[in-house]
Amino acid sequence: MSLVISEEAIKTLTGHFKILSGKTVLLVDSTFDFTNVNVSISRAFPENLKTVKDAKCVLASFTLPDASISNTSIQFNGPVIFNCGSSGHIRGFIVFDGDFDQRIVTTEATISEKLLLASNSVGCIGDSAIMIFETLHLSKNCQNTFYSANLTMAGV
Amino acid sequence: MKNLFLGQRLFGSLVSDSEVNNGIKTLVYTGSQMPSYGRYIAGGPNGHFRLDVFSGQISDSSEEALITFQINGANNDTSKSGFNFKISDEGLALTLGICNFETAARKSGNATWFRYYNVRDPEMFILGTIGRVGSDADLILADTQIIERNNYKCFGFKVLLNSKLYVLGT
Repeated sequence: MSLVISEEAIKTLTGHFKILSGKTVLLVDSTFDFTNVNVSISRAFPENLKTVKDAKCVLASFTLPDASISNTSIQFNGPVIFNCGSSGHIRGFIVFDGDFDQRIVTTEATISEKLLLASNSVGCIGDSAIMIFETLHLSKNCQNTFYSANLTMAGV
Repeated sequence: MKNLFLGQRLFGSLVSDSEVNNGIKTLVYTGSQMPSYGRYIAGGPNGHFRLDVFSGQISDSSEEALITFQINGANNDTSKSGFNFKISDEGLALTLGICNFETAARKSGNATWFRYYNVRDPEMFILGTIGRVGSDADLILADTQIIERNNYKCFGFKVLLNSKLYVLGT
């Protein structure tokens, strides 16, 4: 038997995801393994790395816009135009509580401790995915557009 | 298969001794003051949460409970705390509805399900099944055959907000 959690309790949990507003999103390629995020984070962002965006797997970054809440869903709406630091194919994203041009390891915490969210659910308009972009194929120094991100927490 | 991973930082900020944490209402409130608004899933003053034990099928009926356990808020003395939590790579593991104080049954019956709820905001609730040790029920009682005026304790039920979720539709 699974517990039955009331809609109000789920809504409260959903509302908490507003904390993601204004946080840094890193777009990563296929070298980041989303089946084991804790291990991948340690490998992708070693302690001797200067800044988060220097990681080999990071293709681009941008700041997540403010969230809007609707019942058990949380929506982040763009468009946000961002520059692509490297060429490659977006395979997923990481949201963390820190600046992308700072050192990963600070006196406070490592990136794994600052990690808020990570997922390999990315797509283009018309796709069923958490985060939607103009294109998943990035070219260095070109621009791309983030359109939206949607999290539905009813299944938590 | 697409998946979603929730980090420890996110779970950590769900638990706070402030009613509002970074502008967001706290899910698990470890403060002891009476909150201005009761939209929490655990915590607050002692008795702010209750766990009613019922017989029969799970329902929203208003029939009288066999026992009503008064659930304490957070307490550094774990024997007096009404809940506990652990944040790890697995997610946020909560044990809710703990009542280590003997509570007299209101009436006799076979305990089969429970309703855990916030007294000030009854729409904040969790329902689950009750069984004996060895059963796969959500809440385990030493004896499910409840006898009027006998005393019982409640060891709580577990809720895991898992860090690894599958994304539907992708």
